[in-house]
This record gives sequence, C-alpha cells and structure tokens, in this order.
Amino acid sequence: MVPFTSKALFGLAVATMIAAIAYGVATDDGSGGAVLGFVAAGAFLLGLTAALADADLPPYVSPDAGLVDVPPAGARPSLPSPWPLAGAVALGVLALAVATEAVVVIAAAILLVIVGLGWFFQQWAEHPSYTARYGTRLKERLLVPVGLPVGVFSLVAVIAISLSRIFLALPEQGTRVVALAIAIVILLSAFAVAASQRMARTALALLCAFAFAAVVGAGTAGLVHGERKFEKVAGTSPAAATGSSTTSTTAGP
Amino acid sequence: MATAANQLALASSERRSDPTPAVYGAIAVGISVFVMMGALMGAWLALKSGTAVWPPKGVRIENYYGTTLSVTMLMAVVAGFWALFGVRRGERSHAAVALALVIFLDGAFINLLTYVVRGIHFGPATHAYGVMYYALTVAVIAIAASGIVVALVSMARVLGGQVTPAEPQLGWVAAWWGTAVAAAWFVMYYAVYVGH
Repeated sequence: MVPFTSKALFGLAVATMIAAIAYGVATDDGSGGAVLGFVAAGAFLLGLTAALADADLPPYVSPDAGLVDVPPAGARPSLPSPWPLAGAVALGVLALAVATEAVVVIAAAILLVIVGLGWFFQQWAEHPSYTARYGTRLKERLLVPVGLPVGVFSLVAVIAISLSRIFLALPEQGTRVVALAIAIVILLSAFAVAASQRMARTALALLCAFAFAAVVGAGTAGLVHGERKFEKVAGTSPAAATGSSTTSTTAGP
Repeated sequence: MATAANQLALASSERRSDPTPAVYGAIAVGISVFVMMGALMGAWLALKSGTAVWPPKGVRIENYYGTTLSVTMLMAVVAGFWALFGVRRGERSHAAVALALVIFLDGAFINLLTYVVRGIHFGPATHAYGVMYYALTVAVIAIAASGIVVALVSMARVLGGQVTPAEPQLGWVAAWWGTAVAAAWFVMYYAVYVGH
C-alpha cells in the first residue's frame, strides 16, 4: 500500500511539473521552469523513497535483557554528545574565516577535523560490538602513540601562533604589558590549581577551555587587525629592523 | 534489514536500533542536494537569458575535462556499489578496497576540478558567467568532499567490523551518497559543458 506521505509527495511532484510547464510556455523563460522541474523531480524521488522505505521499527531488545537495557517505549536510546555543539562552533569559525584570512580557514578545518574525529569515536564506542577491552587496545595502540604527540604539538602551535598574532598587533609598550599580564595570569592560575585540593575536573576543564578560547579569539582579532608598522632605522639591516622590537618604532594602530 | 533469524542470533542483552533512518535519511539529504543544484541551474539559466554573449568572449570550455570528470565520477559510483556488494556478502576486504577507491576517485575529481579552475583565467567577479561558474564549482567541490568523508567513515567502520551483512546500513549510505555526489556533478556538467 502506498503510504500517505508518498501520495502527498507524488501529488506535489505532479502539481509542480504542471506549474513548470505552464510557466515555461507562458513566459518563455527556462530558469523558473528548471527550478520547478528540479523541485518536481525531488518530490517524486522523495515520494518513491518513502514508498519503498520499511516501516519504522522500535529498537530490538533481546527477551532476556535486563531492565536497564530496555529503552522507554516510543523513545530511541541516545547518549548525550557535545560534538554537535562543537561542530556548530567549528562551522561558525569557518563562516568567520570567509570574511578574514586564509589562516582562519586552516584553523576552522583543524577544528572540523577534531570534531569529526571526536564524533566518529563516540559513535564507534556506542556500537554493541565495542567492549572495554577493545577500547583499551584501541587507546594504547592508536590514540596515545599517535593522538597524544599530534595533539600536544597542535595545541602548542595554536597557542604560540595566537600569542604571536596578539603581540604583533599591539603597540610596542602594549606588547610588554600584555606579555607580563599573561605570564602573571598563567602563574597565578597554576598556583591556584596546584593549591586547591578539591578542584572539580569539570571546573578545571572549563577553566582551560575558557583560557584556550580567549587566547585563540584574541589571536584571531590580532590577525584581523594586522601587524603594527615596523619602521626601518638607519644603520641597521632590514631583517634586524623588522625582527627586533628594540630597533623599531611604533606607528600606532 | 532486521529479520527474525538475525534477531535470534544476537547475543544476550544485546539491542539494535532500526537501521533504516540512516539510509533513507542519507537518500533524503542527497535529493535535497540535487534540488539545491537545480536552484543553481535555474540561476545559471536566468543570467544566461539576460546576457547577450554567453559564455563571454575569451572563455574557452574544454570538453575533454568535462568528460574526464564525468567518467571519474561514474567510476566512483560503481566503486560505491561495489563496496555495498562486499558489505552485503561479508567480504570485508572487497568493501574496504572499494571504499578506498571511492576516496581516491573523489579526491582525483576534486584535484582535476581545481586544476580546471586554476586555468580558466577569470574570477567570480569578472562577469556574470564567472559568478555562476564559481558557485557551481564550489558547491560541487564541497559535495564531493562530503563524499570523501562519508567513504572514509564507512571504510573505517568496515575495517573495524561494525558494518556487516547484519548491519549494512553504512554501506548503503556510502553507495547512495556517492550517487548523490555524481548527480550534483552531472547538473553542473549539463549547465557548463552541454547547455553552455
């Protein structure tokens, strides 16, 4: 039996196709007819898909499963996941990249890869064939040997590049003040974390995530602002004039 | 799809959700991508009808590239269904090799398309033709890149033993998504190389 969804979509396809032909004949314009034709084709294909699709099935649970494994009636079991939100943030950075620099595109691509991998591994771990032993083997043989060095290197690179963008965008005196302030903040934060005996992991993770986001955000702002002007000082080589802050003069932002 | 025999073979306390939403969801998204390409085709035709010289003077369309891109895309579709064939028959190595081939062919497709763009000597701001040419190209490259991602995920899960004859849905998704990618390309192919 053809389901109601398919009947509705087939009706839409026929109506849209008639509209496409009528529009084409009346206006002699191919563009509107093409758009309507594609809509008609899409509606027909969707209707066909709905007609051929199996009926929705409830999640299968073996008869001797414990109550904890039985999902509530009418609901699909799912675990909470931070990755959709992280994916939205990464896509937001990508949208920002369009209006800024190619470096931000690379940052967005890296973020998207991280989100994709995280989402992939969560999905992998939720599969029934996944066991704790398998997960440990995967972690010991793949994630730690490969992921840890790559992750640490990437983290250090992102922080270093972000800080360098901030320092290059600020005036000479401002760079010194900000560098000192960042050093003091890191020192005091590390002291507070070390001195705290009962700091929750969530609070620590939130603190690190906030600090990381602040550094990357400020670095992006510095990138968009651009470097301050370095003026050549007489008697010095161009490399020395641009590479050393002691021989440069600040023109101001 | 789930059968009574498969369900009886499941281990104690194991549960399995309905696999059909993933497959039919991928098909529905693929159809929406096809309709989106249709909208771009409509914009192409609208600008074409309002422009005296189309394509503009100096624009040379090489049919050789269009044909090569089309053949590459058709080979990727065949490889996608070969992967599905392997998944449904429990031939893990066949499925993995076929999905690797999909990744390679989609990558080659993007590589050639970007090569063609580098050699056309006009930008998106040069004329109306350039606007639409770049819009279609960027859309097709993004869709082909998504095809690579889908094939990569499918291949990893095939190799990990999570896509099997009892749970072939990701194989179906990879095959149908590859078809949607090819459909998107053929809309652009018709606009640029056939209809001009």
